[in-house]
Amino acid sequence: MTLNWKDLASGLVLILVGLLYGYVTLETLPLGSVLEMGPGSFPIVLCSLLVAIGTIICASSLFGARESEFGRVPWRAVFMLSISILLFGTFLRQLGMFPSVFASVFIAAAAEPGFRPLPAAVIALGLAVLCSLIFLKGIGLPVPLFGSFFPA
Amino acid sequence: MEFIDNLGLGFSVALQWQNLLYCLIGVLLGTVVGILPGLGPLATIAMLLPLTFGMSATQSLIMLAGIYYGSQYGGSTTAILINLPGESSSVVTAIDGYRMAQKGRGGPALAAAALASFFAGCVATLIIAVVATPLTRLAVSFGAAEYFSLLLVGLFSSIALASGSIIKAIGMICLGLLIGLTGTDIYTAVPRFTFGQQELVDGIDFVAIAVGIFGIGEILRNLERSGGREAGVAKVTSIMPSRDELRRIVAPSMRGTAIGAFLGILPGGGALLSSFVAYNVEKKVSSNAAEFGNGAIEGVAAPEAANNAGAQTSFIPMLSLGIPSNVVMALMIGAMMVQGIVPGPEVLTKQPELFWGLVASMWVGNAMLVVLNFPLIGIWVRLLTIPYSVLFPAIIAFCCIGVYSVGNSGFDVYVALIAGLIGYILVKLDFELPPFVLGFILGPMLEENLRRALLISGGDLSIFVTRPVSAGLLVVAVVTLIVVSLPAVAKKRKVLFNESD
Repeated sequence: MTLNWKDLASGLVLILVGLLYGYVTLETLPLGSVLEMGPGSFPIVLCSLLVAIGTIICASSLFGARESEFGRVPWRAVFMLSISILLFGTFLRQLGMFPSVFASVFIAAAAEPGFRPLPAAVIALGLAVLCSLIFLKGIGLPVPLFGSFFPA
Repeated sequence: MEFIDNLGLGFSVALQWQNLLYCLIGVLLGTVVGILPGLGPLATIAMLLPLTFGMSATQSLIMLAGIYYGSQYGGSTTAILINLPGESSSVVTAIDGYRMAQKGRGGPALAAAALASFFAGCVATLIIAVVATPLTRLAVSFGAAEYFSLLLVGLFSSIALASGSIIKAIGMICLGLLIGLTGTDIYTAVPRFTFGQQELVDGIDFVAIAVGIFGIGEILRNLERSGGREAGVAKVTSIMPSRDELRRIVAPSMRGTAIGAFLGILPGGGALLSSFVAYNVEKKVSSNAAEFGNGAIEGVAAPEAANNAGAQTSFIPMLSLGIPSNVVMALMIGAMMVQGIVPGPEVLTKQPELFWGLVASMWVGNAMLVVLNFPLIGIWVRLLTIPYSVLFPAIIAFCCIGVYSVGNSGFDVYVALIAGLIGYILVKLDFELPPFVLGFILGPMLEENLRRALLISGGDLSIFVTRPVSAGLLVVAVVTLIVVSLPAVAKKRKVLFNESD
């Protein structure tokens, strides 16, 4: 018997989400009746379906014919891109458009194993200029060019 | 003839110089993203949505539509020249197109693709013009029960797009429906699944989800494979096909157009499915079947005609019913809502200039693509030499700005990141994301119509089967589900999609 780990995990994910959302639904949302469906009735149907489908996938994973590769996870990319995006979302207002784009692009570029700081800085600078022109000059987004971190 | 008057109105709008300009920008951008691997029309439209805030509704839709069908052209250019389909819809084009390029017939292959696409675009424009008015009249008579059944058809047929396990695709639909319910319940104003986050009370922003999944998640998948792409660009000497080649693409173009136009209208259809089916049909019926896979020009013309026809007719359900048949159309709906337009049958009656202007602009855009593509091929090929290490940080920046500017909030940027990471894991577990996204968009509509239908019927579930149109649609939904899960069809689907790898 070969166990298909990938399918087992997939099924478990669906079951977990179904149970979590199902629990939240039962705790917080009235179900109502067929005549007047409450805010909880449609979600509870979906949660039940998710648990059922997850169970089927788990069951079939026990008889999984082939195991497919999970492949490697580019941890470096996951980490760097997360920092780059979090930084942008959190500090855009304080940093302003130009420094935000520069920093985010530079950090994102480090996601690749073949990262070289100097070319990355050039790309980041170019994009910072470009984005500032397009989005501030061109479209007029309500974001400062340089934010409050940089006293004028 | 009514539709001729309507098209006349459309062209008078589409040919205004600003609209021509936005159409040109759209198709050029579309071609560029179609050529660049790792950047598709979805991520592009999502990122550029904020650019359209300052435009009129007509201008923004004309530009966004141009990006969609322009990307089909760009995708086929790279498929033929370097065997690297820029878009999934041109995957099958690469099979015979690249062989032709290797044999020194890359130019005629490009010409065949462009001519077939243009022919399909003209026919599809006419079809939209003819079909839209009666379909809209029908749609006005639709009640909640009919809409519910129609949405089910859409959800079930999105399974046909999934290449892997059907049960997993259904799981993704349910998950999408559930996540899509986040926010305030419209009937009782109770917040649902917000987990105490004030930002979630208005729901999860669709643009953030789309950018996360198709922009950020895609980058992660691309960065798995380290190492650059080879740039073995085939030489293009002469573009003109021989008279014999021209003769051979006529019938495949027509068959491809018919298949694409039909599949495009179906919810869940669109460019991708159309090109696969057209290629396989052509392989069966062509008198030149033996040459398929070895550089048959028919194998280029048919899928290219089909994907362009499908891309255009997929606007029909979106424009007349307000229901997106695929994820790009869902983004178009988002763009309309930003402009304060509720998609649905009223658009045609209340804003005929918008509707017909958009339809006419698709024909104009297709003509532009044919004229522009040939002189610009040199530039397009050079685009391919941009290394991915330059491209992906730029995509990240545009994704972040795009998502931020939709609601002027950093919260949406976080949502995009989370969606990207979760989407990446789900793909790793062999789940497919288009059914999820479709479920996410259709979830609130599905629930609203279900609840309204039951209110009208006094809690009687039989309303869905006693109303004839609704019953008919439910039959279609069930048949769709049965057909895609038949073992024979499932096997076929697997072969079909694996051939493209």
